[in-house]
Amino acid sequence: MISPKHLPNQTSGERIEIFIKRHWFVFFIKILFYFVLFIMPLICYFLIGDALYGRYNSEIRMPIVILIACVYYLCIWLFFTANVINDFLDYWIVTNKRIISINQNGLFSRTVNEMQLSRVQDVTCEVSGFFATILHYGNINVQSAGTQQPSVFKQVPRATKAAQDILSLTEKNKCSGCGGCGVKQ
Amino acid sequence: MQISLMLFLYIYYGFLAVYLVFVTANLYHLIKFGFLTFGNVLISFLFIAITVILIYCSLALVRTVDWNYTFTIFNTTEETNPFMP
Repeated sequence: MISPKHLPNQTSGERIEIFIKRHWFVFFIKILFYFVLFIMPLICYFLIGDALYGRYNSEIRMPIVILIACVYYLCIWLFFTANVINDFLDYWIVTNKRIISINQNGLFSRTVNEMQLSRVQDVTCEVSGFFATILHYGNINVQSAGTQQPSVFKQVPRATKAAQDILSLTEKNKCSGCGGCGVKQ
Repeated sequence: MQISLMLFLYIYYGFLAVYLVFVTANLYHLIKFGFLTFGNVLISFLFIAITVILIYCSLALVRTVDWNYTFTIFNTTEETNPFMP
C-alpha cells in the first residue's frame, strides 16, 4: 500500500496540502443498488417460493437452480467490489508544488497524472444535481497551460471550497516562486 | 443421449476458477494502490472475509446435491427414428 507520508516522486520540501477522495454518497448509492439486487431473489423466494417448490423440486431442476443462485450471488459480489474499488482507488492529492490525480479506470487500467502548480491556469467547479447540491459535492476541472489534458476531480466533497483552496495554493506557489508579488493595493 | 449432472458441476468449477482470478485482481489493486490507512486495511480484510464466506457457502450448498444423477435427452426409439431400416 502507498504510505500518505511518501508520495511517488516526492521532492524535498514537498508536503500534502489537500487529499481528496470521492464523496461517501457515491459509494452509498452503489451499495444501495447492489443491496437491492442481493435481496430481490430472496424476496421472490419468500413470496412465491412455496408455489415454485413443487415445480422445481426434482433431481434435475433443483441442482441447476442451486448453481444459478450461487453464480448469481458470486457475480453480484464481484461486480460490486470491482465497481466500488474502481471509485475507491481514485485520489486527488494537492501538494505545495504539484497536483497528482490518480484514477482507476476499470479493473486493468490506471492513470496517474501530475501537474505542476505553477502551470495551473484555470480551476472550475461544477455542482449539478439534486443530491450534489444538497450534499455539496461536485467536479473540479483544473486546466494547465499548454496542451495537457485538464485534471478532473470527480464527485469530491465540498467542491467549491476545495476549488478555492487549490486556487490559493496556486497563487501562493506563484508568489513564492517570484519572491513576492510586490503589488501595492 | 445420457448427460450427467456432473457436467454442470464442472462448468461451475470452471466459473469459480475464473472468478478467483478476478477476485485476486481486485485484491491486488486494493493492496498495491490503496493508501496505508486503517480504513483501507479494514476494507481489504472485509473483502477477503466476505469472498471466502460466499465461496464456502456456495460449495456447501453444492455438496448437498447428488451430482451422479444422469438424465436422458433426445430419447429416440426404433419406432420414432426415421433413419432406422
